[in-house]
Amino acid sequence: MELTRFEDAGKLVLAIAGKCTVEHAAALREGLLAAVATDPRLVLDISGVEEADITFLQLVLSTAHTVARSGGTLTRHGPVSQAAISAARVSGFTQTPQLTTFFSDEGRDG
Amino acid sequence: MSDIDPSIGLYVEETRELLGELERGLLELESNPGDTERVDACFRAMHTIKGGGAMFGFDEISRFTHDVETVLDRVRSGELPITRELLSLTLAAKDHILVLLEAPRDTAVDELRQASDVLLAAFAAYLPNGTAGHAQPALDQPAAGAATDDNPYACPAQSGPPGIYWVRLRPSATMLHTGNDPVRLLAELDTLGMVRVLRHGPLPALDDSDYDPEAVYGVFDLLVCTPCSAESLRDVFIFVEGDSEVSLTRIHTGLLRGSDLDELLATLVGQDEATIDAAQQRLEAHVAAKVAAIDVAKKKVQARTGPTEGEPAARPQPTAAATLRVDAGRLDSLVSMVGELVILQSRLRQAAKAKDIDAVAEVDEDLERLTDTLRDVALGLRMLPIGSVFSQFTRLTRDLSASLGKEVEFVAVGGETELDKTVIDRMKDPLVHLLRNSLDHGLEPPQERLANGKPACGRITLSAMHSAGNVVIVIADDGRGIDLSVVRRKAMERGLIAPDAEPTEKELFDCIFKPGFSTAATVSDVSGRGVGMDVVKRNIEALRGTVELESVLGQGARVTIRLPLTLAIIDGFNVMVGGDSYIVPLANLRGFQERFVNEVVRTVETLERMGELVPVVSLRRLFAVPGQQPVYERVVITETEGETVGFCVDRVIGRQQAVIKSLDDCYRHLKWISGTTINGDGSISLILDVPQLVRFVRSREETRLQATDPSRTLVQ
Repeated sequence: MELTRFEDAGKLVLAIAGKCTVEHAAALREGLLAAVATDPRLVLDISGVEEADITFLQLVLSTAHTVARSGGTLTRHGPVSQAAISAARVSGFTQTPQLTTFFSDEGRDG
Repeated sequence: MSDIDPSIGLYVEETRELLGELERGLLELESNPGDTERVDACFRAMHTIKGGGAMFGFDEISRFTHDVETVLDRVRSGELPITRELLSLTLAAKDHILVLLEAPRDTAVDELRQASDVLLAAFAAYLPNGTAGHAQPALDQPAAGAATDDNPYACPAQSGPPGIYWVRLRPSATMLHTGNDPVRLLAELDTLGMVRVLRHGPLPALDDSDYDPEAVYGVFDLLVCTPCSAESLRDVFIFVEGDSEVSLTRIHTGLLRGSDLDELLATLVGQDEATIDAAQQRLEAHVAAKVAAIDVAKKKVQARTGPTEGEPAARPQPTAAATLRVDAGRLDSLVSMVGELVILQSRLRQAAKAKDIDAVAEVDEDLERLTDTLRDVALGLRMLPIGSVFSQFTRLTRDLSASLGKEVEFVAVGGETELDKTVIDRMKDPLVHLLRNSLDHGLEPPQERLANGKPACGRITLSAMHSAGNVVIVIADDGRGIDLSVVRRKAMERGLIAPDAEPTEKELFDCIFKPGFSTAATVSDVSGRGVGMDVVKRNIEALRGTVELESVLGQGARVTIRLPLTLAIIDGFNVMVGGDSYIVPLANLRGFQERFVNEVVRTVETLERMGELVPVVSLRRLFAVPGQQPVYERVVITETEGETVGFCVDRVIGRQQAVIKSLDDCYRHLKWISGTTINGDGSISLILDVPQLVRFVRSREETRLQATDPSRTLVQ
C-alpha cells in the first residue's frame, strides 16, 4: 500500500494505492489520522486501490465520521477503483448514509 | 409475457419445444419401451422444464413437474416398468404443463391447481412409498416465514422456487485473523441472486484509542432474492459459523422487486442490537404488509385488464408466431451478402461519379444476382421443416384411434420438407381436420377390415414433398374410400347438382368441399357434422393453395394439398388495363392469346383456344376502367380448379416478381385481390386472386342472367 499527500484547490488530498488489506490497516489508520489532523476537509483519492477488504472500508467510514464531526463531508479525488467499489457495494458500504455521496459521482471533488 | 422479461418468453418457447420432444419420446417409448436413451431424454426434458419453471416464476409448473420428474427418474433407474397407463398419464401431464405454461402468469386459478392435484394423485401411485405427494398441496402455499428445510432443491446446482431470504451476519471481531473476510463472503453471496445489504452497528471513531484497525465491526443484514436453496446460501458461511453469528430465514416465497427489498431492509435500520426473533418478527410483519399491498395492486390491474377471479384464465394468443429459431449458417450467409451489398453500393457510386455506363451496367448485373440470392436466403429464414407439425399428429392419431376403437399405423414421410412458417402455422387446423376424417370415416373397425380381407390395423400416411415450386402434402388412408353414389344422392338432396345431371367424378368430389355437406350416417364427437371440409378448402385457398380429393371405393382416399413455398413473394405477369396495373400469378397462368374487338364488348364472352371455347372476362368492363376500349386486346389464359378462363387486358408488360404487401383493412372485402405490390417505377399493382376472381364473375353473371333469362347459364 502507498500513501501520497498532495494539495488540490487548497485542500489536502490523500491518495491511497495498492493493496488495502488487513496487513496494512494499521498504517492506513495512521496515515488517515495524520491527514485529518492536517486538514479536516480531507479529500481521499482511492483510484489506485488494487485490493480492499473490510478493514479498508471501515477506515474510510470512520474517517467520514471524523470529518463529519468537524462539520465537513468526506469527498473524493478521481474515480473509485473497481476493487474498492466492488468491495463497498457487496458489503453495503455504498449505502451507508455517510458514504453514499463519497462513492457516488457527486462525491468526486477533482 | 415477453413484454415483461424476454427471458421468460425464451423459457416459454423452449418449454414448448421440450414438451414436443417429450411427447415424441413418450410415443416412441410406447412402441419401444426398452429404449433407455429415450427414457433419459424424457427425464432430462422434464428436469429442464421444472428447473426453468422455478427460475422464471412458473411456480405451479415447478410444483407439478416435481413428482412427474421423480416418476421418470424411477423409470430411468429401472425401478418402474414402462406401461401404457404410465405413458398415457405422462402424456396427460405434458398436456397439463402446456396449459399451465400458456395460462397467464400469477393467475394459476384454482381449477388449474386442482387439475394439477388430480394428475399428481394419479402419479402418487408410481412414487416410492413414503414420498407420495412430495409436492406441496397447491392450495396450501407456504406461509411467509415458513422454514424451508424440506426444500427439495437442496443442491446449489439445482434451482427451486425463488424466494427471499433474510441473512444476518454478525462477524466475530477477529474474523480476519482466521483468514476470512466479510467482504469476500458477501461477494460470494452476491453471485447467488439479487442481494441488498445493510451494514450497520457501532464503529469506533478514527482517533478512538479502542479502534482496532484489524478488527471487524458492525452487523450485516441482507435480503437475498434467489432460486437457490437455504443450504446453498448457508454454505457460503460454512467456515465462519463457529465464531461468527449467522442466521438465515426464508421470509417469502416468490419474487419481489429490488425497490421492495430496499424498503424492507430499511425497516431493520437501528435493529442491529435486536435479537434475531425480534428482528425477524418486525421484518415478517413488513413483508406481509408488502405482499398484501402487491396483491391488492395486482387485483386492481386484473379487474381493469385481465380475467376476473373465478373465470377461467383467458388463453393468451399463441406467441409462436412472434419468435423463430434460425439456423446460424443461414444468418451468416445473410450477413456476408449484406457485406457484398455494401461493396456493390460503393462500386456503383464510383461508376456514377466517373459516369462510366459500362461499369454501372456491370454493377446492375451483379446486383440482380445478389438480390436473387439475398431474397432466397432471407425467405429461407422463415422456412421451417413441416415435421414440427407432423409430430403432433402422431399423438392425435394415437388418442383418437383409442377412443374410436380402431387400430391405426400412422406414417409421416418428408418431415424435413421446409415451408414458410406462416403457412405451417395456418395449415395445422386443416390437417387435423383431414386426419380426423380419415380416422373416423375412412378407416374401418378392425372386424370390418378383416372381413374385407384387409389387415386389422389401418394405415394413414402423411407425406410432404417439394414439387414444381410448391409443397405437396398428401394424406392417404387405406380405408373404405368414398362411395360416389352416396355423394351423388346427398348432393342431389341438397340441391348441389341437378337431378338429371351427369356430374363427373371430380365434380362429385368437389361437392364434398361445399358447406354443410356430409355423407356420414352418424355424427360423432370426432367428425361427421358436415362442418369443416369447406373450411379446410377456404383455409388452404387463403394460403394460395389448392386441395384435391381422390378415392377408390374399398381401397381408401387421398387428399392432395398444394401450397406455395412462401407467402411473401410470388412470380407473376404484370398486365395493364387502361392506367391500372395488375399481377396475374404465374401459378395460374397458362398462356396468352389476343383478340380483335369489333363490336360492343360484354363482360363475359367466349374465345376459341385449341379447338375449345373458353370463357373470357373483360377486366376493363368488369372493373369499369375508364378510357377508350382498344380494338386489339391481349387475353391472359389462366387455369383454376380445373377450368380455363381468359382475362382480357390492354397490354402485357412482362414477368415480374411481386413482393406482396397486404391490403389495408378497408379493402379486405375485395376477395379477388390477394394483395398489392410496388413496381419498379414506384406505381402500385394489384395482385389478382384468380380463383376468387372467377367465382366473383360467375356469381355476378349468374345473378344477372337469372334475373333476365333463367334458362341461360354461364359457360362452366
